[in-house]
Amino acid sequence: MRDARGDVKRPIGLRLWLSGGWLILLVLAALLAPWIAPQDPLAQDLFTSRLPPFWEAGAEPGYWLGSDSLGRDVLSRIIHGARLALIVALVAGTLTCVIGTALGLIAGYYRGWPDRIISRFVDIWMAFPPVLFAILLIAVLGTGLTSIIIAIVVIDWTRFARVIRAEAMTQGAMDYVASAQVAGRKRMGTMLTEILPNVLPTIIALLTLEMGIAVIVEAILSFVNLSISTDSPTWGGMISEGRTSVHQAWWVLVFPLITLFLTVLSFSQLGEGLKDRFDPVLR
Amino acid sequence: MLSYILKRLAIAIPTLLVLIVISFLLMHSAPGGPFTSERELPPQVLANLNAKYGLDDPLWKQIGSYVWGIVSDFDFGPSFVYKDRSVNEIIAQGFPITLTYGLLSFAVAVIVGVGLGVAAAVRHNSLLDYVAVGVSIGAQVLPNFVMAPILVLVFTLWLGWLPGGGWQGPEYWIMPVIALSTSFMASIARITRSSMLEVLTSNHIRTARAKGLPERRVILRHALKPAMLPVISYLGPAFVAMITGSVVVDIYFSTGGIGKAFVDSALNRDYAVMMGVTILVGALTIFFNLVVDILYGWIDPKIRY
Repeated sequence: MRDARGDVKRPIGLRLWLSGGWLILLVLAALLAPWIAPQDPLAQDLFTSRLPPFWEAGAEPGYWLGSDSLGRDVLSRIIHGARLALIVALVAGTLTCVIGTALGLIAGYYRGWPDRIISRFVDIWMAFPPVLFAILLIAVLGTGLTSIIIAIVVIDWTRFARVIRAEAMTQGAMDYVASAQVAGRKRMGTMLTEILPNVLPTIIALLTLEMGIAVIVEAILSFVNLSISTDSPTWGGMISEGRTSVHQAWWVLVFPLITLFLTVLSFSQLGEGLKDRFDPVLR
Repeated sequence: MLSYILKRLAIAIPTLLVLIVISFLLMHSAPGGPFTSERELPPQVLANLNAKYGLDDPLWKQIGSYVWGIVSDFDFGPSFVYKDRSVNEIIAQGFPITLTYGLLSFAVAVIVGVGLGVAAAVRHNSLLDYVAVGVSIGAQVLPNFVMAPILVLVFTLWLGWLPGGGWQGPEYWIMPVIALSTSFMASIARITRSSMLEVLTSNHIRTARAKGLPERRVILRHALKPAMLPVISYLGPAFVAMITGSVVVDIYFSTGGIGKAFVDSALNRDYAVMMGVTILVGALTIFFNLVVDILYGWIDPKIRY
C-alpha cells in the first residue's frame, strides 16, 4: 500500500510558505513604515485627491495604489495601518492565549472545585454575544488601544479555556502523567513539564487563529468608529471611508480589503499548517 | 428526557440573571452618566432627571427594579438619549429585521453547507470533492465584514443586479444573507464532510450496504443522522454569530436592524439600549444552546438521560 504521508506533506509546505511569507512582509512593513511608505499617511492634498492606482490613466507616480478623497496615499495608509493590526494581533492574541490556556490547564488537570468554578464561568461567558459585548466594553472603557485589547481578551479567552481544558483532561488520564506522579513529581510541575508540552500544538494552532480573529475584531471596531482616534490610519477605518466613496474611487475600498483578507487567511492557514506539522500522526 | 430539560433550565435561568447583573454593573460603572453633555446642566435639573430615571436609588434597588421590569413586563426601561422612546420600541423596530435575515442566513448556511459536505464525502477524492474543499477553505475566512463590501462591489456596482442597501423586499435580502452565511456555510461543509467520511467507513454502514440497501437510502437514512452530531454542536455559536453579524450588515446594507441601533447607542452612550440589546441577544443565545443540547441528546443514541 502506498504511504499516504507523502501526499499530506507537500501542500502543507506551500501553505506555510505563502502564509508565513505574507505575514513576514507585513511585519517588515509595520516596523519600517516611516521609511518605506512613499507618502505621509496623514498628508491631505486636494490636488491629488482620488488618484487612480498606477496602471490606470491619470495616475501619479508615488501614489501606487491611488489616493482617497482627501488626497491621502492609499498604500502608505495600508502600510501604517499594519502597525495597529499587528500590535492588536500580537498583544491581544498572546494575552488571550496565556489567560485562556492557564485556566483551561488548571480546570482540565486539577479537576475538582477549580474545574467547577472555571467551567461555570465559561458557561456564563458563552451567553455573552461576542461582538456586541466587545462594543459594550469599548463604550464603557472609552476608545483606545488598551480598550480594544481588553475587549478582545475578555470576549475570547473562553475559546482557549474550553479547548485546552478538554485536551488537558485527555492528557491527564494518560500513563505518562501517572508515571510522573509515581516518580514523585509535584502536581504543578507535572502540569507544566508534562501536560503543557503535549498540548502545545493545539495552543499554537489556536493562537494563530486568534490573531486573525483579533485583526478582524479590530477592523470591525474601527469600521464602526469605536477603535482608536481617527488620526492614525486603520484598515477598518479605511474600509469604512472607502465604502462611502466607492462609486468614484473603488481602490480606496478594495486595497485595504484585500490586505485584510490576505492577513486573516494567512493567520488561519499558518495555524492549520503548524498544527499538521506538529501533529505526531502526520509527522 | 424531561428531567434533563428541567435541569438545563435550572442552569439557564441563573446564567441569564448573571448576564443581566454583569451588563448592568458594567453600564453603571461607565464614566459620564447618560446626561453628561457639553452644556453643563443645573444641579437641580440633573437631580430631577436622576430621580425620574431612578438613578438616585441605591444600586441594589436599581438592579432589582431593572430585573423585575424585564421579568414581569418584558420592559427594558426608557432610552436615555431619545426622551420619547423606550428601549422596547427601539428593539421592536430593528429586531424583526435582524431576525429575518439572521434566520434566513442560518437556514442557507445549514442547508447548503450540509448538502455540499455530504456530496463531497460521497464522492470522496473526486473533482467535486476538491472543489468543495478548496471553496470552503477560502470561504471560511470570508467573514461578513469582508464579504459585504465584495458583494456590493460585484452585484451593485459592477453588475448592477441588486440594490445596494435598504430593506423593502426580497431582493434586498439576498446580499445580507450571502454576507452572513458564507463563512458558516463553509465551516459546516467542512465539518459535515469529515464527519460523513468517518461514518461512511463504520460498521453499520457496511452492514447496510451488505444487506443490499440502495446507496441513496444508506446515505440519507443510516449515515446522515450520526454524521450530523458534530454539526449540531456547531450550530449554537453559528446562530449567535448570525445575529451579532447584524452590526456589520446593517451598516453596509442600511438594513435598519438591531446592529445599527446598537452601534448608534454605543456612540451616543445610550446605555439603556445597549443593555437591552445585549440581554436580549444573550437570552436568545442561552435559549438556542438549550435547544441544541436537547436536539443533540435526541439524535445521539449514546446519550440517555
